[in-house]
Amino acid sequence: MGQSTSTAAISSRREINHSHRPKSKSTALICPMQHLEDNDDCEIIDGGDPDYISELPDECLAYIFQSLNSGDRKRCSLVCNRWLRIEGQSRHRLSLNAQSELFPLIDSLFSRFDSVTKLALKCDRRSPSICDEALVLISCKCRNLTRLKLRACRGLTDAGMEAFAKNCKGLKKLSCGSCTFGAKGMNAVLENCSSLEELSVKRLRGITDGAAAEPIGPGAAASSLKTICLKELYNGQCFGPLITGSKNLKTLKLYRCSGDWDKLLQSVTEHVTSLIEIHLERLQVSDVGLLAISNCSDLEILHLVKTPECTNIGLLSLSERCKHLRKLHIDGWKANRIGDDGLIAVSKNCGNLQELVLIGVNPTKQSLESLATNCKNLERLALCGSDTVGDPEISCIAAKCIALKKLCIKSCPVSNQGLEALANGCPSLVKVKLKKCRAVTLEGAEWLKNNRESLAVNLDNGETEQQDASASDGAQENGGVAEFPTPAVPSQMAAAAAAAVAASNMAGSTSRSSSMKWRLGLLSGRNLVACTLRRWSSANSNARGTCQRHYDFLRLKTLVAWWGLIHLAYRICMA
Amino acid sequence: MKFCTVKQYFDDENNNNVTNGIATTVIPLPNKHLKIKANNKEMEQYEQELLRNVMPQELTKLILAANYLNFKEALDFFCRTVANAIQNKSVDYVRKFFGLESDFEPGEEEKLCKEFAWSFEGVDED
Repeated sequence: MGQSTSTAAISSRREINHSHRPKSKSTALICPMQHLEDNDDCEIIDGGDPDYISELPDECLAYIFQSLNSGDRKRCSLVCNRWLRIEGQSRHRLSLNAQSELFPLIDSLFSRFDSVTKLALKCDRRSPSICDEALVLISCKCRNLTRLKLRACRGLTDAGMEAFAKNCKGLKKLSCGSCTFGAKGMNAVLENCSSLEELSVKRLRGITDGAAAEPIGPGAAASSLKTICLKELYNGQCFGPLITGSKNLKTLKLYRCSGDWDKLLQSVTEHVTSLIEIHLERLQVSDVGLLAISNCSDLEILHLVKTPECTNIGLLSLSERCKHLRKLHIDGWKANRIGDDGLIAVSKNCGNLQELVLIGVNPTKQSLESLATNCKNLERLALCGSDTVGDPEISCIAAKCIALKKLCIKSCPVSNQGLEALANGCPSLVKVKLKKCRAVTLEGAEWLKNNRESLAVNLDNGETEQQDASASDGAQENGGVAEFPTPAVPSQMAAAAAAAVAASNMAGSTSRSSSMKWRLGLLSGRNLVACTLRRWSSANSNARGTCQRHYDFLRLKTLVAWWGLIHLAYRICMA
Repeated sequence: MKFCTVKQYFDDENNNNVTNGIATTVIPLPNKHLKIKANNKEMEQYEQELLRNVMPQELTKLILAANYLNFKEALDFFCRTVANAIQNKSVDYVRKFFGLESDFEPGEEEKLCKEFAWSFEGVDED
């Protein structure tokens, strides 16, 4: 094992090689010819256990490493000295634990990894993070940094960010979350990194409110910025000048930022009309804002998630001017401000619509028919939490949506009968996903599978924890269909079952088996016990209520504790 | 376009970079690729077969050949196959696979392992 070829074999091969010295001209993709001189070992292996990988030039080996993840690369670097060197020199992406203890290692780390262009520095909330000095040292070592991700690096201040920006002027993407620097630092980045294309800011604590609020932007980066994403900012409006000044902005995402955004959207869209993608989630924005957005006539993607002051009127005015709309996601939060009227307007004006996701919106056959008839390119449709989408509506979709490829129905009063329509309708249908539709059973799904073999049918009636349909980072798309993240956790299923049993005992209901199924369907939300009891008392069959859905760490702990107790109770009952 | 180098290869009689056997495997690849491009599963199967039938030494030669022939798809494919073969494997396995021996000083490997370990561990990929 190892480099134990016989010397005779090597020398004979060397003779062969020398007599066929390759020409210097090369059209090879990766390795220049001269590398072959270093690798005199064999073209033709005669046996023994030769080291064939040495034939491969450094660049080829690096190319292999490219397909490996960090852990595998780490292991490869320990194979031998050559691999250690190549792995280090070819690693362009590095993700580090940015605790204060990192500082003394920075020199040696970046000597080994001297070609890093994408860097993530992540600290946890409990530990002290790296300080300004460390960041500046890193910026000196990685002059060619194109991407930087900072998480909970609370030791970094405005001064550090400024010094960093001056060293890494080629930065293209900056993403910072839970940092504590402020407007000065942000402005320094915008002033120095004139090639910045993407900026993502979440929870920047140093941005002060009220009179002391320093405006951010536009800076030298304004003309290069293509994407701006702001999340959970207390005083996000101070980014106004930046957004307004980014003349080439294509994507704007605003999530859960406080304050009124109508006015800012108005001033933004007066100057920036190049926007193609807009995400608004849990924002104070109304039809006034929507009208402002309609100035962006090239708009293709719009997400309106839990913005109950946006109504049919706003949607209508937007659709009249944004005729190129391709993807529309609306989470109406069951407020019924957006419904048939708005959707019919969209269908009539936006003939290019390819993807439609409706959550907590109640469309009837009227709008579904209009959409099916007018949007001839509608390929992906998801309907979630609609009280009005039942079997007749599915039949309508099946009959009229010619281009539909993927269909997802969740928590709607659809039954097995509705599935029958899908067996023959929607000629282009490739995949259908049914989640938490209580009246749809395994038998129904099997029937559909058997009657339409080319169709992939995914049934998930899991009595699992129901999560917020709006992903905080925008709707997750899985092959084009919005995925609603709901991990099927077996322990929680047991908890649900146990809770049902325990509660049915407590409530003194009639038959355990019949009520359990019903209750299992009701159990949802992170506030497992509270929601459960509330629902049983109100006998509200709709699983989605207006329970507070914010994921709360404290609740999780309570939940786990409850689960433990209930599970114990279950076992005692069943014993 | 993919085979601009091939002409040179055939012209160049003294070429020792690509043995005939390898050329036979590499050159029919584009057709194979076109056929199975759409089907991922088939690609995986083909990859598995290749891995079983072709020794690591052959794979490295294939990589060299693809590189010399300027055939990017084949190069990607072979490099990826090698990467898949050593994915999630231990350091020793990788060494054995390629017939390599550690040339680290005693204790150096362990030191390297520990040196920056904590700075990587538990940090998710970008």
